[in-house]
Amino acid sequence: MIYIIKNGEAINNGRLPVESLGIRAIDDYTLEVELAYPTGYFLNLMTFMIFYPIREDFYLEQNGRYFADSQNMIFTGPFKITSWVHGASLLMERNEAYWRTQEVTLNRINIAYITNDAAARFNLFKDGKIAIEEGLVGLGAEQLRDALTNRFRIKNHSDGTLFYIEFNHRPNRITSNLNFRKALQFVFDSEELVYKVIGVAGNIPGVAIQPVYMHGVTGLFRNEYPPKRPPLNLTLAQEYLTKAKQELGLESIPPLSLLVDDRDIGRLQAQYLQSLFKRTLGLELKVDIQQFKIRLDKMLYGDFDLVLAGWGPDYEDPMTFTDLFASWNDNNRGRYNSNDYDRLVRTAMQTADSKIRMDAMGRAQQMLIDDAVVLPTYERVANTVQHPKLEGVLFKQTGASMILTYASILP
Amino acid sequence: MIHHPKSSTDHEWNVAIESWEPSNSHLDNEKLNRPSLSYWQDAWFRLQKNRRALSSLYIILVLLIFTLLGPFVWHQDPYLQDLDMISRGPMFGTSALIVEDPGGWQPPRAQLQDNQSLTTPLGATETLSLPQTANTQYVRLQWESVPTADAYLIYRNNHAPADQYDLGLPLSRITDPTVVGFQDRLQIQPQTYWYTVIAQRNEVESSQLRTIRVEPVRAITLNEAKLRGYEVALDEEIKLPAHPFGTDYLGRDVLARIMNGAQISMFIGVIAPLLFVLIGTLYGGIAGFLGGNIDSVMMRIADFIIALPFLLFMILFRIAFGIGPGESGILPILFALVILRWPDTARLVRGQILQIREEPYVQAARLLGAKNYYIILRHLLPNTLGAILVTLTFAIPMAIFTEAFLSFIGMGVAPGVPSWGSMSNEGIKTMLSSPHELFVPAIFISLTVLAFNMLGDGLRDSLDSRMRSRE
Amino acid sequence: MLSYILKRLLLGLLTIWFIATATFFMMHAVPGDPLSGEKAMSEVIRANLMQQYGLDKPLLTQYLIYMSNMLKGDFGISFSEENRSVNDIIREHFPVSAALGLVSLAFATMGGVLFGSFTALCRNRWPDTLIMFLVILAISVPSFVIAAFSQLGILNLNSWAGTTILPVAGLNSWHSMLIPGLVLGLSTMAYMTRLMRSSMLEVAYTDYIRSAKAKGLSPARIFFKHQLRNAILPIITVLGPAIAIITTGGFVVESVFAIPGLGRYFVQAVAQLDYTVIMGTTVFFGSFLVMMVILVDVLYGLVDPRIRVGKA
Repeated sequence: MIYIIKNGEAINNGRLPVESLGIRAIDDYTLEVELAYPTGYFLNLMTFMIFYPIREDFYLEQNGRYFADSQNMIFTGPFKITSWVHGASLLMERNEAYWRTQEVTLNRINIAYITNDAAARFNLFKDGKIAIEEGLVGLGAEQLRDALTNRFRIKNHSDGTLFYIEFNHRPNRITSNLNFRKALQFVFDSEELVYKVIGVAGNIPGVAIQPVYMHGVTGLFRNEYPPKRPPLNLTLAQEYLTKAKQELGLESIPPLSLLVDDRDIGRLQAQYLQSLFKRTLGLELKVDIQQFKIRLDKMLYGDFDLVLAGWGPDYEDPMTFTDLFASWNDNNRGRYNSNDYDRLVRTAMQTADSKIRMDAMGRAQQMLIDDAVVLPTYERVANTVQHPKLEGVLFKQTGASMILTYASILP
Repeated sequence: MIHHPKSSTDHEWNVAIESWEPSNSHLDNEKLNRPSLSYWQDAWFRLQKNRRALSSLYIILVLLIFTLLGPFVWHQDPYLQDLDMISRGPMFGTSALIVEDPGGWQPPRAQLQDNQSLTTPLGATETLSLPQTANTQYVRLQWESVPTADAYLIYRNNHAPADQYDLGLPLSRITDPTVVGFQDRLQIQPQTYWYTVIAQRNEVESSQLRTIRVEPVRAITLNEAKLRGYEVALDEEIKLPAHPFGTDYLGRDVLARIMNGAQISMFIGVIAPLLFVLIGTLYGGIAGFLGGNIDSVMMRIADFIIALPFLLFMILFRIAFGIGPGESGILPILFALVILRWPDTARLVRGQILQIREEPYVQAARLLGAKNYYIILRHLLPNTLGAILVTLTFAIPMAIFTEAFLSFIGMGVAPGVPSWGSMSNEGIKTMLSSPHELFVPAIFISLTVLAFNMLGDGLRDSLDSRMRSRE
Repeated sequence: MLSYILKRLLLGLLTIWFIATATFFMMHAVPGDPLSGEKAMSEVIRANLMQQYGLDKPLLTQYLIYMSNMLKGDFGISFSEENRSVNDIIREHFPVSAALGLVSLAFATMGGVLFGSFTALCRNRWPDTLIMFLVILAISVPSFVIAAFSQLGILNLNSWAGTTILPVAGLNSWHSMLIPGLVLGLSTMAYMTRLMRSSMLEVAYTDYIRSAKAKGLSPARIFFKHQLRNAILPIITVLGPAIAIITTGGFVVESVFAIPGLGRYFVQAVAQLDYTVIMGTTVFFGSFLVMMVILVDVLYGLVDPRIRVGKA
C-alpha cells in the first residue's frame, strides 16, 4: 500500500535511504506527495490508519510509552481521552483543538464499563447504566430476543467485514483443483448459513467479494457490476467432484482440514460446513480449531485446506478487497496465483480513470466467482440498541466504526 | 454390666430410669453373635447397610445403563443437524408441510413513476400482503410501491408493535426501489409475527408504516425431505422425529447427545480424578510421613507443578501426542489432568498426615515396631480418607469442565463431538431463550457428582470402624 | 523458626526459578509468535520487529537476557497492549484482584467452616442433606452460569426497587465487590464445607474428644476448644493455594462483572502468545503461591503445636 508513494517499495526493501521518499512538507500547511503511478483512490487511501501522522517530538518525549496511557497520547480528533483506567473505564472530553470543535455537542463521553461479556453488557443497558450497546460485533441472537421482549428499538448497520471460506491454492493441495472447488461452490448455500445457522437479523448472505455498501463509478458497485453466481445444483456438484477425482487420480477424497479460530461463530459455521459437505458430497472435513495466533501462523504457512477468513476494509475503495488476491499480497493466505487476475489488479491500481478502474475490478470480482477462489459466507451487520434520547450516532465501515462527533442528547 | 447407649450424642446420654431393665439375654452377651469378619468384609457389609451409599450405587448403575444401552434403544444420530429445528424445547411428534425450495424466488417488481413531486411527504404502502401461505421455511411479503421512496425497511416482531420504535428486528433494507417484495427466512418459528414495511427516502424514514400479522405453519422443503429419505410430494405432510430433551443450537437431538456425551464425560470425569487423587495421596502421604528435607523438597516440586500454566502445557502435550488438527484427543487431556492436578490432593493429604502421625496410636504402633508401610496403610491413610474422598468428588465436575473448556478452544475433542461439559458450555449462550440446552447436561453432571459424593460418604462411613456404632 | 522461614524462602526462590525457566521454554515451543497479526506484514518489517524485540537472537541468549531483566524486577513490555509494561499491568490490576480475592476468601472460609461444622453436627438429617445438595449444585454448574444468574438477580432487584441497590457490574464502591466475591468464592466455599464436615466427623470420634466428654465438658466448650481447632487443619491446607488461585483466576467473574482484575491477562496472554505477559503473570503467580504456602505451613505450627514443620 505504501508502494504507491514514490520510492516506497525500494525504501521498504532497504535499497534506498528513507530521505528519498516522495513526501515533502512544503510549509506548515502543505504536504506534497509524489506517487509512483497514478492512483485513482489516493484520497480514500489516506483515511487508512497507517497513513496517519505521528508527531515526532511528542513521540520521542514519551520514552517508549507512546499511547500506553492517557497522558502519553495526543489528539487531533473531536474528543480526547482524559482518563483511562485500563480494563475498567475511559473518559473522553471534547477536544478544543479539533478543527470543527464548535460542531461537536457532546461534552463528555464516559465509557464506564469495559468487558467482553455480551450478556453483562446487555444487562448494563437494561439497568440504564449505558446509553448505547452494540455487543461485541453487534448484539447476539440471545440479546436480540431479550431486546424484543423489552421493546427496545433495534437498529443495525453494516460493520464492513466480509467473511468467506478461503481455499488453499498451493499446488500440492486438493483444493487447488478448480473442479473440486466448483463442486463445493455448487452445494454451499450462504442463505441457509446466514438465515438458519447464524440466525442474527440483518446479516447479508455472501455473494461476491465486494460487499453491498461499496461504491463504484457513480452508484453502488453491486448494482453496477452485479456478480453472476451459478444457482445451487447438487447433481452438477457431484459431476464436478467426479471430474476432480479423475484429474487428481484419487479414488476418494481424503479428509480435508478446515481451519477456524476459537470464536463461537467459527465453531458454529465449521460444524455446519462439516455436516453440509458430508451430506451432499460425502466429503470428510476435519475442523482444526486454533487459538488466534496459532491460526494466523497456520494461515501464513499454508497449513490448511479450507479456512474461515474475513476481511474488513482498510479504506473506502473496492481495491481494499480486490488486491487481497493479487499474487504479491501477503494477506493472500490461500496463495491464489493468476496472471490474469494480477493484470486486472494492476490496471485498477495504476490509473486515475474511475471507469477503467471499476471495470477492471468488476471483472476481477467475477473471476473470483468463476474460479471459485473463495466462497463468500456473509457480510456482517451489527445490531445495536440505544437510549431513546441519544441521537445522531453514526457508524462507518472503515476506520473507527462508531462516530460520536455529531451525536447529541435530546432534552 | 455396662449398658451401651444406642447413640452417643450428648443429649441422649440421660436415659430415663424406666428404661433400665434387667437384660434377659445376659448369657448371649458372652458369645460372639456376629460372624468374624475381615476388615474389608466388614466394610462391604456396612456399605450394603448404608442406604445412601446404596442408592448412589443405583444412580451410577442407572447412568451407566442409560448411556451404554441407551443408544441401542434411542436410534437418533447425535450428529444429525436439523436446521429447521434449532434450539427447540422438548417435543413429541409434530408434523410438517412439504413446501418448495425458497432458493429460486424472485421478488416482485414495480414500475417507478417519476412524475411524483419530491416535496410530498413520504407515506406508507397502500397494501401489504402475503402472496403465498406463510410457513416456517419462508414468509413472502409483497407491497404496493410507495411513490418517491428510494428504499424500504422490513421489520419483524414477536408482538404487535406499540409505536414506530417498537418494530422489532430490522430484517433488511432494500435499496432497489423497484423491488416491492421480500422473502424472510430468518429462523422462522410456528408462532405469530408482525411484519412491518417502511418506505425511506434519502435515508429518512417515513413516519407512516404498514404492519401485517403472520402465522407461519411448520414446514420443510421438498429437497430437504428427499435428502432425509422421505418419499413425498409438495403439500403433503410428514411426521418429524420426537425430541424428548429438545434440540441444540444446530438442531441435534439432545437426548442422543447426552447418551453419546456420557462416554467422554464419564471417562474423563471419573478416571482422571481417580488417578490424580491416587497419585496425590501417595505423594502427599510419603512426603508427610517422611517429613524433614524430603518433605520440603517434595512439596516444592508440587508448588512448581501447580504454578505451570496449564494451557501452555496442554498445547505442547497435544503436539507431543501427535494429535493432528481436527482430531479428537482425549488422552492428552487425561494425561495433562493427571500430571498437573495431583499437587492439591498431595498437599491436603500431607497436611493431614503431619497431624495424624503425632497421634498417640501411631506412636504406639511405631513403638510396637510396626513397619512404615503398615503404619501408612493401616493408620494414616484411612484417617485421611474423608478429605481424600471430598477431593475426589470435587474433582469430577472440575475434570468434566476442563475437558469442555479445552474442547472449546480446540484442544480437546473435535468440535461437534458431544460431551456433557461442552453441551452445558454451549447451552449458556441461550440460557434464557432455551434453558433446556443448559439444564439437561447440567442435571446429568449434578447427578454424577451427587452419586459419587454419596458413595464417598458411604465408603468413608463403612471403612471407618469408629463410626460403626453410628449406623 | 526464623531459620526455618529463611530456608523456606530460599527454596521458594529456587522453585520460582524453575517455574520461570520451564514456562519460558514451553512458551517458545508453541507454534506462532506474538508478532503474527490479522493483517499480514512483509518479511522485511517482520524481521525488523523481531530484531527490535530481540526475538531473532538464539533462544538461550533470549533466556539469559530475560532472566537478568527479571532479576532487576523488569518483566518487559507487553506485545498486545500498546507500549504497556508488564510491571504496570501487575501493579494496576493485582490490587483489584487481591481485594476481590479477599472478599471471596472471607465468604468461602467463613461459609465453609460454618456450614461444614453445622452439617457435621446434624449429620444425615435434613439440613445436612439440603446443604449437600446446594454444594453439589454449586460445583456442577459452570461458574459463568452462576455469575450470569446472580447478575440477572441484581438486575431484577434493581428494577423492582426502582433504584440501584447493588451495581449490575463495574467497580465503583465496596459493595460492587459483594456479589462477584460471593460468586468467585462459591466453589471454594462448597469445597471447604465438605472438607470441614468430613474433618469434623473424624475428629468427633478421637480419644481426646471422648475424654473431654467423659470429663463432662460442656458441648459448646468441646466444640470450640477441641473439635473446631483440630478439624480446621484441612481448611488451612487448602487456603494457601486457594488464595493464589482465587486472586488470579477470577477471569469469568471479572468479565461478567466488568472488574479490571488480573485474571483476564492469564487467559488472554496465552491466546495472544504475549510472551512477556505470560512470563510476568506466571512468575508473579508462582511467587505469590510460594509465599502463601510458606505462610500456611507456618500457620500449621501455630494451630497445631504437635506439628513440627521442617523436622523429621
